[in-house]
Amino acid sequence: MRTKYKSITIIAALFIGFVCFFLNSNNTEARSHRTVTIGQGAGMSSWDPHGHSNQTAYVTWRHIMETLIYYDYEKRRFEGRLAKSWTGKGTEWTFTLRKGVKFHNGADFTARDVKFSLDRIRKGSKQAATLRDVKDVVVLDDYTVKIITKKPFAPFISRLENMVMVSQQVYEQYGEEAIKHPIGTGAFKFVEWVRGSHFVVKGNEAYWGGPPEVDQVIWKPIPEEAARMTALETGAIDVATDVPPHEVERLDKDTNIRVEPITAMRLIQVGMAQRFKPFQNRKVRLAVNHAVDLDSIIKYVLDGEAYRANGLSGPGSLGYLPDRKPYMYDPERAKSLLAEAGYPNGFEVNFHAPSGRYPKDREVAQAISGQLAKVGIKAKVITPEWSVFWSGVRTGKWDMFYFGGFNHLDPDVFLSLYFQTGVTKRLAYSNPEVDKAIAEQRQEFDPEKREVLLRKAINTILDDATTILLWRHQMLYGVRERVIWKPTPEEGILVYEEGFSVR
Amino acid sequence: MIVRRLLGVIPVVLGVSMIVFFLMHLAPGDPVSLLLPEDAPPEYIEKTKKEWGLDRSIPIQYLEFLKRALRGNFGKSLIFDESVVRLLLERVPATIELALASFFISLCISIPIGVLAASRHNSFWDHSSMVFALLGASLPHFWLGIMMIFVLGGYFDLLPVSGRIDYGLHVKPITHLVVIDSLLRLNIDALINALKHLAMPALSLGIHFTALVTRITRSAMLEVIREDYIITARVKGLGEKAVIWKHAFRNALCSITTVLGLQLGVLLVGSIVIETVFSWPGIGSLLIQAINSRDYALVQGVVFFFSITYIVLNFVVDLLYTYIDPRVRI
Repeated sequence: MRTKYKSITIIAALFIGFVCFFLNSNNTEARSHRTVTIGQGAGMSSWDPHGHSNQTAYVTWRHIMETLIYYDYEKRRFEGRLAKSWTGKGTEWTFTLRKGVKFHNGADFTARDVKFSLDRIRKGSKQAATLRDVKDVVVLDDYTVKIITKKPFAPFISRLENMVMVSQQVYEQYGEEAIKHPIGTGAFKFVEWVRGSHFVVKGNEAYWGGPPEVDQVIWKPIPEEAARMTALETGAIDVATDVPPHEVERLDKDTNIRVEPITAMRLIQVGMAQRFKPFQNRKVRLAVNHAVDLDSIIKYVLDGEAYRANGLSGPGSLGYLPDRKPYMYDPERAKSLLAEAGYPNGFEVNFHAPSGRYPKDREVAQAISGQLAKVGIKAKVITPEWSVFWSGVRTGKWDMFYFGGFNHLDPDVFLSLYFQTGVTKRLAYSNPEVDKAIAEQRQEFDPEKREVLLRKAINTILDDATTILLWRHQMLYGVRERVIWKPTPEEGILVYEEGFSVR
Repeated sequence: MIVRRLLGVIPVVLGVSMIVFFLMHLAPGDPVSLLLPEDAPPEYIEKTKKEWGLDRSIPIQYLEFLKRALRGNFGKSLIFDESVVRLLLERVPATIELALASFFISLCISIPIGVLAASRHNSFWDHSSMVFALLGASLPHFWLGIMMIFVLGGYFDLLPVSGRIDYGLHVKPITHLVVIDSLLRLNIDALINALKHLAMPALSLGIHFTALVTRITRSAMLEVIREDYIITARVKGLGEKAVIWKHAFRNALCSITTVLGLQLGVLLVGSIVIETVFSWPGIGSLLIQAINSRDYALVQGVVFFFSITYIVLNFVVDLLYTYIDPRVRI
């Protein structure tokens, strides 16, 4: 009897203790009202602004350090950031730099910092491949710098989009430890980074473009989707990336949250490598394109959150084909094409797809496989782990594979990686007309003439039905009402841009 | 005797490192294609492979690794550009804190329940605690974690869903265990905040452990309660509480401790998933990132740490054994 009352008393005391514990206020984060907290799927990896090559890190570092140029999605052209203007002719690109720009430690930004930064990237950093066309960087005077390319290369300017400028003086002063002093010219100054926990910057009052509208930005890596969405709903974060489509309805109902959609630049395709005999015949490739009903897949598998692609470049990029129509769903035509090509009973093929890399990638691959089966093509869906899958793509192991790409403004790089003879083994595709157009557009510095050449190359590739063009996904950001911001097609939240503010 | 045990550790650690090394290198996929820009041409990939020493044969790479490791240099992480040892030191305290919290909470829950179930054999308490144990053993811990995030974190907004402590609550580290440090520095705000962050991860990590220890405690106690010396103790006139705790439990502790030692590995391994679910910055989540990017040096370092920890913990349990049961000698 006595023992029973005693245990009940203890349990009651513990319960009261718990209640007091929870009543203690929840959001004690050191935030002024002009702070923005962003929850993303991945965090920063390296202290070195040149020691990575992923989009998340590029965007974050661009808050502290700056690039020479940036792309204006509204004006659809490159504009100067640290560079005031530039000219490009033959193998020489001459940049006139903005005067009066200061680093966070008060030192002046000059052409020497540009040379130092670009040389540092080229000499064995993870980003070196992006500047592979550069032969030399020459300082002409304090505010003029010349970049010499190995060959005349019209697309070069887009290569500089993510290359941030660091201070030569800081690196000379601190040597190896310089990366622990992230000093740049950007709108925000570095405050703190705890790996896996948070990356914090504060507003730069002396920024050359005027002080930012936000005092503090906190990035938090929350890879688990459930946790990221919950953090958005409780207000622990103000912006969440990658909202899954099935959550959109629920989040929209919450008056404190809105979902901001924007069409991604990344194009999803299915590659048909021409080392696989059936794919060597254009009729077979056309048949595959006609056999898939992409509109149904978008409607039922992706909840409508994707846009059919009609070309390799999206509406905001160079080489966009406004009038071209994608191949229509026509299973009867597919069957007759297959018969004409000598495969009346279809054929078997291995279809490799990643799992979880792109929204519903595995489900879409299975849907496509099901549709192909109806015309006799037995496509076996294989979903290896990402590193295995990607290495298979790069080394040319897969015959049919699901992939994303063409997420740069300038399609030149992807054209050469996938469609130029001999550059990589990915698609084993070769068309001398395409090669000629690609080579010519590289040397054409007149933007209008270049556009014509790009469209020619892309039209030829599409006429060859080299791949199945799928779509561009809707990128969905979850944003709390206090944040005023509209996303751009670039993957990432640019707090330093005009138009971003908090209530 | 102890020296023999310690010497026995070396081949185990060596064997584990060799197996992990060869498995990682045999797995398709390489860190260079994963860490360089998507559009890097094949020549760049080959060049970087040479620079990073990945073009040599696997046995030679292993010997290089061994040579460096014996001098305490575990190499540099390819993803993070930091020495592996520094990364480990940075992240290990978080995992230790999580594992200790899980362990402690689990014991506080499972032992009283197990003892209660045994002392009231076949009663309502006994049956319901066994159902509880069965539930705990069968629920996947990451699922429980996500459910807790939705319910406790989202619907009731009681607990935070990621991280160790809110940004802005700074606690100067002493032990690097945030809860202990905030206690030592008498920072109550930080203490409560850290405990709140620790609650859900620790509970979900410990669920299997709790279930197991409950069952083991109960069966160990049931065995001991039937012994003659318990009847003697009761006949002597000792109160029921003394009989149960001072005599029965003390003897049941032997079997319980054995299991505890063996199952501690479960907590370490479980941390890999739980840390990812709760964005807990420990070595479990570090390992996942390392494996996904084929960061060979980092994987080796983390696995080495796990194996050493497991071996040491088992050793400690064996030592505890000699204290609990004076008849046993190491």
